[in-house]
Amino acid sequence: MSDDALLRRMLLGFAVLAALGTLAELGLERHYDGMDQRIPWVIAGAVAALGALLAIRPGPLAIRAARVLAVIALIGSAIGVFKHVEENHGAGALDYRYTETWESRSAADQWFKAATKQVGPAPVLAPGALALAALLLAAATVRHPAVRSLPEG
Amino acid sequence: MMPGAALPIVLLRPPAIKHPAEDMMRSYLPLAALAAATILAGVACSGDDAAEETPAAATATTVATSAATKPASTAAASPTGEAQATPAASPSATTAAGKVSANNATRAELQAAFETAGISGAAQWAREVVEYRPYPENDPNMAKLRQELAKYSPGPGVVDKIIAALSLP
Repeated sequence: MSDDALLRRMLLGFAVLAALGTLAELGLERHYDGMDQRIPWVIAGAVAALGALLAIRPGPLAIRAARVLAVIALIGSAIGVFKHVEENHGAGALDYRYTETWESRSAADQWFKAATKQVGPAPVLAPGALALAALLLAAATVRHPAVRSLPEG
Repeated sequence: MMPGAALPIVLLRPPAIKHPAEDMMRSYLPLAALAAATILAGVACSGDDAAEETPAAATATTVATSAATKPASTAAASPTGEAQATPAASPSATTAAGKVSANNATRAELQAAFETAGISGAAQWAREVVEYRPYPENDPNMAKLRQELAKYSPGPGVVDKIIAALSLP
């Protein structure tokens, strides 16, 4: 096995591991209340499945799908970060330290506290795990032999 | 994350023309991706840990747990208790004591019950109670709900008031 192939295998392994770890964490956090909380399940599941497919049977279609999925996962990850900040923002008034003063605070101060997790229970950057898995998956497709054989355009 | 937004575009459209730096990029791109991913994971983990170690959150949890033995009807026996029979309350979700079902009451019913109990942020608390359903019927102290609500750093006694306004199933 060449160095390229070995590195590609390792990246795929890390991608699948990261996706499975994300799925496990989602389960432990009972992250399935409503449709928006189920979206990361789909993305992480797709990353795991595509990673396994690329390792077992790599092909041009799977490689393109992996790259598209990486973009989707990055967008989903960014949305997830915003949703977590939004969740923390909504919980600001519940925090006993801010119950009386939350509404009188400036919007910038409220959002800063939410984004830095000074209020609320949602881990702000946790959705970045999806981006991690997707970037690993995409990295494993860089200069893949199956892509090189594709016609340009 | 935003600085890395251009990366997928690069990955989707690899340069067709050979370049002297190509070999170097070929070597370092996967490593760069790994490094970025590691940083992301690290930052995400550190944020979570910091929250768990917040003294205020720990205090709120302790207060809520230690006060768990109070009579459940404390908050419900407020002078405004008559207002608990709100028009939105359904008979199946509201008990004779004016409590609402933790598992079956609508969000509006929960909010009305919490407002009656004098709990500030009633709407948000109602949303959280709905989110963490179902609650086991064999746990009248509602430890699961207490644990979930403690994450929000509620003031002393708030969780007890919420629990006092709820019934099982």
